[in-house]
Amino acid sequence: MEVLEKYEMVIGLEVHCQLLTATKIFAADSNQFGSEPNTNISVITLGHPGTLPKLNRKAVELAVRMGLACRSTITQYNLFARKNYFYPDLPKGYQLSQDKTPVCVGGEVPVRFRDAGGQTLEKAVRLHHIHLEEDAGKSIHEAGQWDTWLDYNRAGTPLIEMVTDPVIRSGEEAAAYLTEVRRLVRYLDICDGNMEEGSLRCDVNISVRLKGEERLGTKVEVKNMNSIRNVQRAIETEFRRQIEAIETGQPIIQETRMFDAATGQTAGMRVKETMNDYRYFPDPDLSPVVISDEWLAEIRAGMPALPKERYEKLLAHYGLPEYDAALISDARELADYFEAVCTRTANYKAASNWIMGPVKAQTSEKNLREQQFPLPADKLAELINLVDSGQVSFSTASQRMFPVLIEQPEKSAEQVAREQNLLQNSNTDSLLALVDEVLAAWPDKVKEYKKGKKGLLGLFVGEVMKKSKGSADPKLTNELIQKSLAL
Amino acid sequence: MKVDRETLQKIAHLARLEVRPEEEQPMIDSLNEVLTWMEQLNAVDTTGVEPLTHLSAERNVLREDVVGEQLPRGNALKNAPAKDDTYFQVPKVIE
Amino acid sequence: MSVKTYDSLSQIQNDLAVGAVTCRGLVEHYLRRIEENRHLNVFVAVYAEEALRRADEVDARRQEGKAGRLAGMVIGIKDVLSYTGHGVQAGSRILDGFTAQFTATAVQRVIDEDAIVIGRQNCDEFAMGSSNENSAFGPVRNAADTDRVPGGSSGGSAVAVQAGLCLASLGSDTGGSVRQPAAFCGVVGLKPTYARVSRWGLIAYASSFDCIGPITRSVEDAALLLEVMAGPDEFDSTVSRNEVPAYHALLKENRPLRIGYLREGVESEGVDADIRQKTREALDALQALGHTVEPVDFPLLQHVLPTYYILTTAEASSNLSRFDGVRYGYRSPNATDLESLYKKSRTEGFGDEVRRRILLGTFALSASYYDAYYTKAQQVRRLIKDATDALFAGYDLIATPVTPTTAFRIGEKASDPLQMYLADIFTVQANVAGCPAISVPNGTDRTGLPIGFQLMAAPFREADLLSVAGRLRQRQEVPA
Repeated sequence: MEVLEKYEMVIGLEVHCQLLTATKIFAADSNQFGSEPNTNISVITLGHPGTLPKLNRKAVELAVRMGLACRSTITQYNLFARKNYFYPDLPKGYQLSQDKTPVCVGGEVPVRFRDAGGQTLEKAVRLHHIHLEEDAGKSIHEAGQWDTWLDYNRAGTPLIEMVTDPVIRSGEEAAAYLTEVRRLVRYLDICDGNMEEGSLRCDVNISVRLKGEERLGTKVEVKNMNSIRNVQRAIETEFRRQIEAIETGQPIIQETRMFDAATGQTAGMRVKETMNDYRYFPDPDLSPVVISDEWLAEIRAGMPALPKERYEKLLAHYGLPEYDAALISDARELADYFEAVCTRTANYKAASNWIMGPVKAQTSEKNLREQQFPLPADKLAELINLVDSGQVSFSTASQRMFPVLIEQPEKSAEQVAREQNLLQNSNTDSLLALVDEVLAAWPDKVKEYKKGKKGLLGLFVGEVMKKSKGSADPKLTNELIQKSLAL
Repeated sequence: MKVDRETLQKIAHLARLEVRPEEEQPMIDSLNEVLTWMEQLNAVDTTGVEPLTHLSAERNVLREDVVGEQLPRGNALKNAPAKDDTYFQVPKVIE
Repeated sequence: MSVKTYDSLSQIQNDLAVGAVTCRGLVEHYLRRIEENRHLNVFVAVYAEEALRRADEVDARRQEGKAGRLAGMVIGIKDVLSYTGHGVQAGSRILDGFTAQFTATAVQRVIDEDAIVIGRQNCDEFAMGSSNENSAFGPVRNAADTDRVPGGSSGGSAVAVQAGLCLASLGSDTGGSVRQPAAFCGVVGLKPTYARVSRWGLIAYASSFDCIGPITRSVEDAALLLEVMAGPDEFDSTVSRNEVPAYHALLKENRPLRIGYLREGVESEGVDADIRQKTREALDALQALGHTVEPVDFPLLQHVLPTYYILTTAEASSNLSRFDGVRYGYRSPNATDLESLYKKSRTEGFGDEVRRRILLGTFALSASYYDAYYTKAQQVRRLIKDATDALFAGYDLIATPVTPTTAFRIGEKASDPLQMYLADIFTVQANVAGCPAISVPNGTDRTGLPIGFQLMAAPFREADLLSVAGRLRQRQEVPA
């Protein structure tokens, strides 16, 4: 442990996000995930002789959106470059990417995390750049197969690659960064941020050095982490590995290592890759893309609101407390749902309570991503309004009606209340009649109450509830009894 | 700038080409001949000259994000040297 | 039906109109000519049945008065143009057995106007060469002297027209590959402005140089084909969105122009005496037609070829990476693992010249040399383009010979790559600067071998090029 304290880790992250476009970046093939292998392809995707790329406007706009959200400088004059290398999943023998003119330069992502001492830190992780590129196809190597199979559905999917400066100093910070990036891309409809499915991928570049040392150590690239947790684990294990190597006098080899989730270790690749010379040069088949001020303004205007803007609206317009606003604005889907509910009820705080409580409890991470809430917004609003009108209590609504409505989505809230006989009697006259009956039946207890035994109130309320078969509004009953007894 | 044997082999590997031993010297010679001749370019003063990357004057040639014609899988696999009815196949790639 | 040799579509359409010939008759005629001239090794594949079927269709459409502008035109396409359902292999083994899955825009457009494609034509492998000796299918022979080369890389396309195997061909020109064979074979060859015609479907050699161009017997046919092919499509991101002039109608134009000629063309000892003489005669003819004709200098001429070779080999080395035996084309039976699959397929599939150029291009792009060669060449290219634009500020057209020699013997130059490169010296400038240029027949040398004369114009000024070339031809009254 003491040994580790001598060192600090220097980390840069490269995050690839698959863009939510209908088609690929340079071809009009469908960009849908999960299709049958080799069914979303065209002659362009396969790199047939004589084919040419043509750039998807939406891909450019989504990339710019991300840059605007991260306060990057948007490059006005954009070129694409060829990155030349051979691999079976790369149809043209080169990847179209950006080399000298990434679409976004600089920028930052604000993160919040706990440091080693348990202190909460806030930091702005600096970006080096964001650039557009195309994804490669998929190689499938199964044990027992003598060959490798290739599926080109993914080849040509639009990606943005976000590269940070080497400013990250811990696994926690890296995790916080990824969490925030994921939140942002989902908020802005840029990417669905799914690391398990691979729509968001992260490679880590990590070196270590003695604290206080300015020079950088040898950088190692770590890949193959399919969750934020695994990125953190990979960082921590690689940190220890490098320190151990240094402490025992072994050199750190600049290489790519693969993280193994099962063992929690990183391993060098079996076949050492030769240092690749990618021979980048500007692609002559794609004409330059000039992002004018007008286009930039259009993109900005068309952007969904950022988390911070959403948070502020929840405070100012909906009057929610900070705690509520923070929680609800955390996920775009939640904020959207909240606002949809609030088009049908004026009780914003109630909406917030419901969402933070019963709704969230019934909504998994996956459901949230897919905007599958237990109740549609209008149903929830109905429920809230029913409670507000006094026809049911909150506890009845949340504990008895909510589950039923989830199971039977075709029914309205009022229907369920009626069927289950849950509507409270809030009719003052009929309640008064019951109150009179009860008080008349318990003259001794009434006397004791008037002498000071206020606890008997509960008995009277209970008796009225029994007489009303549970439909009496307990609050109103309470009030009426007190009024009657005060006479 | 001269091409030697080692450089030739590195370049050949980058280009995934084989140069057989008996071909090496003639290839080196012919590359060197052409390279020397190309070194003339160094005589041209290009201070402050922007490299010409695109000859066409077109800018912002963009496609709307709409799905177009795709290749039916059968056609896509038609020209494949090795395949089954779903995938293209290559000798196993060791990672 | 005995069919005479036609020089232009208008002649054919006149005869079609009066029933002296039918499209079927034409196709049958050309098929016979192709058969009789197999020793020239022009066609890699002949689409006999298909062409006859199409001929009948076009004949039927003509009866209904619905025929397209190119009805009656039988064409061949260079083996670098993609045509659905047909093989295309750029003169290379590496695409043996490959069937195209889409059609090039240029080809589609001529078909849409009822031209009939009769077959695909032999060419230098991946369009790399100036003699059509670098083809996996063997050399093409010049019909004027079958021991001699037709020029390249569109050698097959030029001989097809020369020998009357079809009326016109679609070739490609990256450094002179349409104009130089046209000159060696005594036919017309046009290289349009870069980006005038979509490159969708053209197997790429050097993307910022490649142009599709027609080879014809008459200037008017070249104008008509250009008009049909030119203009933007939905696939090529570099193709010009400039309006396409009515090139064919504009042939009538006859205003006096300022024409400059490169001194080297008439003075240099490196150019054959007969060619220099013929060039002078053509210049005199232009003067007699009312144009101002003056000598000009182009000091950067000596730098044009090195610039061309660095940039084209660099782009080609990348464009040819897709030929790897994975998704299509030749896969070596000697491959044991992935690495040998790549290396053996590519080494066995590509010919020597292609491998040489790929290596050269890879070298030019590789990290240590990128600035010395590639960036430098791009800077010089800009200088050449700017200087060419400046030249065209003062002159409407620039005239030169097309080649320094007439057709050489097969095998004569093949061993010396440098000499072969020098043969491109007059044609390459148009590709480096992106200008249109045309080669028109300009008589023969003392042994009867064809000589060509070249006119270049500023970008998108094909109309001037074509009208002057047309009048020059008329004046020369060159026989069919």
